[in-house]
Amino acid sequence: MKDDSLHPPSEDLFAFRDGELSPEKRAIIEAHVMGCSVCRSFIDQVSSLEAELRQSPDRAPAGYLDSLQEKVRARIAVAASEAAGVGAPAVGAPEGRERRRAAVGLRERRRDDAGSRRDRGRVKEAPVLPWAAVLSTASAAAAVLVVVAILIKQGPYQRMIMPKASKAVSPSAGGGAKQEGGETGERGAPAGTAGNEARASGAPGKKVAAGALAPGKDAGVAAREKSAAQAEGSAADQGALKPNVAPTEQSLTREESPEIRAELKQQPQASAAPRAPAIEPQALAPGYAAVLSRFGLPPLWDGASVSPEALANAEPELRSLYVSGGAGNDSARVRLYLAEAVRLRYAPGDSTLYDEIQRHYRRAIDLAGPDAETARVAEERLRTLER
Amino acid sequence: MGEKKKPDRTAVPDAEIVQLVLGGEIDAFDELVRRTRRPAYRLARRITRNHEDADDVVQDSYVKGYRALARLDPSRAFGPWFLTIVARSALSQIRQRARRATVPLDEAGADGTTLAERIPDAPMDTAAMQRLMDAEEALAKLSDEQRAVLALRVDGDLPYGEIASALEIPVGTVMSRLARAREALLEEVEKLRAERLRRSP
Repeated sequence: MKDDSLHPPSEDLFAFRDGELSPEKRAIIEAHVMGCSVCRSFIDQVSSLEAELRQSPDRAPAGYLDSLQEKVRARIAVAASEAAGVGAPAVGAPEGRERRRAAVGLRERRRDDAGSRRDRGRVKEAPVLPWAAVLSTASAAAAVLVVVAILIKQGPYQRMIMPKASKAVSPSAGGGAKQEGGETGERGAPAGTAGNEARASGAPGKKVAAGALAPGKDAGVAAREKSAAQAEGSAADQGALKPNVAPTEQSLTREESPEIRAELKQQPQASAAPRAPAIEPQALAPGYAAVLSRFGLPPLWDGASVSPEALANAEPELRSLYVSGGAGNDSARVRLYLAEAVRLRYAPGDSTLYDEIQRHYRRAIDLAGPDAETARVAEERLRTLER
Repeated sequence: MGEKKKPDRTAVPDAEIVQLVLGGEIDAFDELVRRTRRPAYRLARRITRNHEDADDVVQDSYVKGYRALARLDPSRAFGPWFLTIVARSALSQIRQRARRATVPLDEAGADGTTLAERIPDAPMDTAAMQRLMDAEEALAKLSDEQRAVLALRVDGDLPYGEIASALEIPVGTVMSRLARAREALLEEVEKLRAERLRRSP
């Protein structure tokens, strides 16, 4: 260690080494260094350490950089489509989580309307487009009409028909209906305006997601596009949603695809039990399915059916699955599980764990895309944490 | 829908790609990502010290970078400019979660691998590996600010001016912080080596 006060300050020695000195000062320091073995050795030792750090291995998990590229591509496409509304790429545009916004754009608005403020400190969502509000209102009105028709047909006291009524609306509204129907059933909420808006808005969100697959993508996406086209509702609906399709083009990543596939497959049986898992087992990423099966966990975390022991035991594997990229399409669900696993250890006042749990929930919401159920559960759990 | 062949932009300079993106060719941004993803991740990982945060930081940084692209001075290269965004995001991330428990470097990391397993394929003798592990361990002991400034210099290879911009501090502060960080790094490594010598028979 150099400690002689006759030597130049370390700042100057390093700046000399880094080529950051003015010519005059460089000449002075250089003259000293040339004649001072202590300073030369000091610089050499630090240089050597830095060279070692530069050689340090890349710690990115296998395949991570490619998956990063895909995720970024999807998010940039969304950011671009948003910027297109205000001039792309927008100078001074808000910097937020565009992918989340676009992939679940309408669902987001619903959440904002409901006063959800999970992203404290983050930039607010983009302004709600008027056509979306009109669409939501129209869909809500259609839902009400259907409900009224059913009530008239079956008698005024059959209030329990409401969840079914919402499902009756869903085929014309798109793929999100099943999950949303489940949500309503779980909450036992009456089909009030908010509920209808949620159903109406969630559904076009799905449709947008499916429609967004149109441009040339990988084979999986092409297949998804094809099945989406087959499963899509009326052509009129598609036309009505066109304006929303373009902005969210490419907004889907591989993380979202199985959910869409599963939902499209499930559409014909949209009256399935509300609490049924939104994803069929075969749609799960193999690694995720294996961990679930090994520890007896359901596809989506559920406080009632997941024992703390099983969760604690599964945590290391879930974590390793996530960081290895093996969670793939189920990253949001894995993040939700991780949040719950960390929460097992959490005690109020532990800010480190609190931050970690919060981050997992937020990431689960971000990654959920059209998987409304996972996003909903993560949001609810985040709210309980923040309370 | 026919698969549209992507133009090969591997030989196109950064500045031209930036102009393409600003002109509306969003796909061109992909090439900027491809060129910078490795150093960006490396820098984010170095500062945040875990994969998950680094992943979040890098993704968010690209979106921020895209949105701020119009503000990029055409005379500046995209890479260093982008790394300043990554550094800022990474620092913000670690400040948000204050000091989080970190994984010792000689044990399995968050990605399930040990440092030794991550050593590149190139042959490396035991002494070299030990030196590397010492350097990493010493770096991990620095404060967040010192680690960030050092990472920007070592991994980002950024000039002081860029580092100052990334950390939003004056160049003079960069100089002094970097000097303190390097001194501390050297001191920590010397302590580690002395400790090992003391333990060895």
